[in-house]
Amino acid sequence: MCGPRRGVASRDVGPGQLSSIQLTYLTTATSNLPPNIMAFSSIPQDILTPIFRLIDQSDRCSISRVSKVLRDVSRPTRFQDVQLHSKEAFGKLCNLVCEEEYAYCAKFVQEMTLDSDQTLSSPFPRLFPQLASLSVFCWMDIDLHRAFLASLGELSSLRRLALNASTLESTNPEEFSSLKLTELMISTKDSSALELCHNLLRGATQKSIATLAIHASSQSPAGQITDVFPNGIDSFPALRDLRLDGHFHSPKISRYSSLLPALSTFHCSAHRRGAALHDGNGGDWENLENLVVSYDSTNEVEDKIYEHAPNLKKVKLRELSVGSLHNVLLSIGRAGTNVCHLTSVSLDMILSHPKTIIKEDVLESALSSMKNLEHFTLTGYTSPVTRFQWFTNVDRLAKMLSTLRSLRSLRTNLAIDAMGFLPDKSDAVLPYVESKKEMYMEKTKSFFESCPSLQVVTWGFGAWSERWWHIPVKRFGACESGETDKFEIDEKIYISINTVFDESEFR
Amino acid sequence: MSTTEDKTRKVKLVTSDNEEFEVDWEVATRSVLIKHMLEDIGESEEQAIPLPNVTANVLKKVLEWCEHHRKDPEPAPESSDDNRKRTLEIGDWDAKFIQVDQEMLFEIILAANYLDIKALLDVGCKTVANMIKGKQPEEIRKMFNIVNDFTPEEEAQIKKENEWAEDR
Repeated sequence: MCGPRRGVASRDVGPGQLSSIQLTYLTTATSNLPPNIMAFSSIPQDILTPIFRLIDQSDRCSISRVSKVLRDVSRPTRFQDVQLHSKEAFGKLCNLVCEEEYAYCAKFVQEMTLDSDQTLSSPFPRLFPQLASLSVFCWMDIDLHRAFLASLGELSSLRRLALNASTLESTNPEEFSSLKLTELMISTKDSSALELCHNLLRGATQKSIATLAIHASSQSPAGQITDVFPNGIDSFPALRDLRLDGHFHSPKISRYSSLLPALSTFHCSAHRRGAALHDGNGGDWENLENLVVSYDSTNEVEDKIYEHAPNLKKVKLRELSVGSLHNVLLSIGRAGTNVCHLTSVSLDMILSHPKTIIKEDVLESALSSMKNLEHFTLTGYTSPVTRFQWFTNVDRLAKMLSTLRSLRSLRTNLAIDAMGFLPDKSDAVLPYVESKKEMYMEKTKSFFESCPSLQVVTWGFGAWSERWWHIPVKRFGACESGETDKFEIDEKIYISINTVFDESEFR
Repeated sequence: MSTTEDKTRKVKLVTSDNEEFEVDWEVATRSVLIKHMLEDIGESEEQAIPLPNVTANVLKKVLEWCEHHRKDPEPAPESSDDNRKRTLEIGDWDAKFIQVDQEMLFEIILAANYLDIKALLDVGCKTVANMIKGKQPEEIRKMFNIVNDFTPEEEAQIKKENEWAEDR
């Protein structure tokens, strides 16, 4: 019931450290301040600690060199989240905590980030009994050796492991049998990430893993592991967040739906995805809410995931071929009430099969199924898009969207791209867009008139320099009081950092 | 959950220097400490809440913040992990509000801690963190009027203690 009291240290600060009562005494005794003036060090330890957590490692070192009191108070924070910028720095830390005088500092270490400029070939030392999170990033073409990797299996306190290296040497599953990770992130230039992943997932981590991210940037040689999950295991019951990126076998979701029953977020950019996530033969995926998939734009994929994931809320599908987009829209339309939980849908397509036609009623049917849609993005990359009349006719598109009573934002480049082409020279783009502002305002009115809940329409320009340009038009005013709506075009023109459209940058 | 009655209710607060403040229930209950005390005393409107750790000039400032943020949603409970990773950004109004002398800044931080007003404590901590950021030890000493009490041997020791962190 009572809040924290002034001057009362709330936690044990370790040997040689001082309570805030002592801090107050020391500061007033050693500074020139009059005794009734409050000093920095009179702030209790339990407030100073979060302040020190907000500053970075070099600032923590600076504060520790200000006075003896601050040296001691800052010690737990300085050692709690250590960032090591070389193998040599790692060696210095290990040597320090091996000294009796500093041995207790090792107990403060909970998170460690090691940027290694040299090969790590020795076992990881068992010096940090509270180490819960370890991130190792190897420079350039540096590998992680077997002795180092195998020793990680002995870190019983470890819950989060992130490894980024050129390649990982082979290990055995037995070496990781007792490790209980909740988060695992591995990135390699070859498929060795998958082998280590298999070895870890065969141990106690199988039951505890909640977040898994695997990136393998080159194709596996024939005969090597291609699927991220090892065979012979029925289920990963706690896995909620899965991110797959790179060159490995496209997972078969029919198997995943029973293997990963708790999964709520799935990002799949297995390069390039030419198969369906769900072919309609497996079970439903009850907990899946967020889905991001990059497809292979040269293939036509028929995915039935929308009919088998009844609680999907956010979907982002990238690099769809026109045929795949057509199939997605058909599938959403077919899914009926199964897609009524969708609140955010982002579809981007590449016009690789210009002969394919998407009929107006296919889009209309899909849109009318997504009754609770709040954010809708529809983008395309290749001109001309005039082949699809309903894409470029703003009034018809607005009429279709009018069925969405919860729609708050719309992002598209399709209609705008048909209005003209951006200049080739970069310094001419901004004046060109500026000169068209009135036209964008006029075009946007159709959307605002058709969709009462719509607050912002963002026009995208994807034609220049492989960057996306965005210009939002916002609605403001008081609809409820009967006043006429007003619209405002954003003064800013946003330039996306990505070569592919990513609306999350503007949220 | 607050009721309409609560929102029109007035609350009396008494500071350590015996000054009385009458404020709206919605403003006073930005403080979790006061909120819990009000829940304990029930409907009694006359009973003043004593705040023995806060002086009148500090409470006045704290209430100014609470008034501005009276409609803010309740802060979501954060893990210590989230706390560590958040940014040092402060909103425009808060940045202007916290432009006070150092003594008042520390008093606000202590009062926010005592009264359990997490968002205000956050603003105070970020302000101090921004003051420290990028400064050398001597600059920090000068800024906060702290005397260097290290002996040359201790200086060497702390250098050794931080060597792993300063190696780039």
